[in-house]
Amino acid sequence: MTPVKPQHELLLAQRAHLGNLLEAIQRCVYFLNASDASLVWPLTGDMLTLHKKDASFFEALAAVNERFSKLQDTLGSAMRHSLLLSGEQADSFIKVLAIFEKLGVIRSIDDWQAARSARNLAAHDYEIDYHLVAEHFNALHSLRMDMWGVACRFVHYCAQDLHVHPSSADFSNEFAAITGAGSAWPGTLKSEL
Amino acid sequence: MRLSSHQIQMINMAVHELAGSGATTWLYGSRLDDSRRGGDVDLLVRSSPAIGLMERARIKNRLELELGLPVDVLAAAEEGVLSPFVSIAMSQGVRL
Repeated sequence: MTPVKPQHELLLAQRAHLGNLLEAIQRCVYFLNASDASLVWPLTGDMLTLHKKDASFFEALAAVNERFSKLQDTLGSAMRHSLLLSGEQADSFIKVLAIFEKLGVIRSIDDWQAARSARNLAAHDYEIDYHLVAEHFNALHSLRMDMWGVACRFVHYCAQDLHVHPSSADFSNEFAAITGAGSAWPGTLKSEL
Repeated sequence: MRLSSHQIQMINMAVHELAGSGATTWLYGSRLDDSRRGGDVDLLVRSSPAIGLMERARIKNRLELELGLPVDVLAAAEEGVLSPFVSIAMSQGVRL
């Protein structure tokens, strides 16, 4: 039987887990940006038709889709987990989103949910109409800026309000350069107003 | 058809608000079969031009919230050649 951890050890483990999730977020941003930067935007149907048998081109597109999903899912997990440390109560994910909307970390619940549905729709469509495929990926390309903003504000919120930082600084410089964290802060948290 | 008139009204209102007043909505798939239970609400939205990915996502989210049912939204342009899947959906579907 696993011994029950004392309360302070549990708290330390929860803080360490959030630190790991923050590092994972920074890593997701780094790799999504790398995949995105390997393509020429905006995509067009003609461009995709031209590359229809180009495996590396379509691998880059698949990576954009997968990494976008991974980033949003990791942000979601981290937001939910951080509530254990902030003492806020949320019995559903929509309530988690409502708390972070109020804090100014996400711009709106509708935008967050639309981004989630958009990438799921794009992942589940079996399109061979290359103009539609191009449109799907162009939408994800535009949405990545919103995700940069959420990631940036969430990492800032954890540092400022919870005093939790990414477990390592391995991706921190690149994360700051990509999202504009620090130099060109994309928004002010409502807790700072 | 396993949708109430109130549910149809909610669908048409959401589609007109998010895809434009000229958009038409078709129900296809399992919700047309009265002998079945449950299942997604499969909708085809036709407009000129076809709505994009984000509009589809917003319609899906709003209707899932309002109807409390899983919703799938397919889009097609009013003009031009229909894909085989859209042709099938329209031939078996019902305009709402």
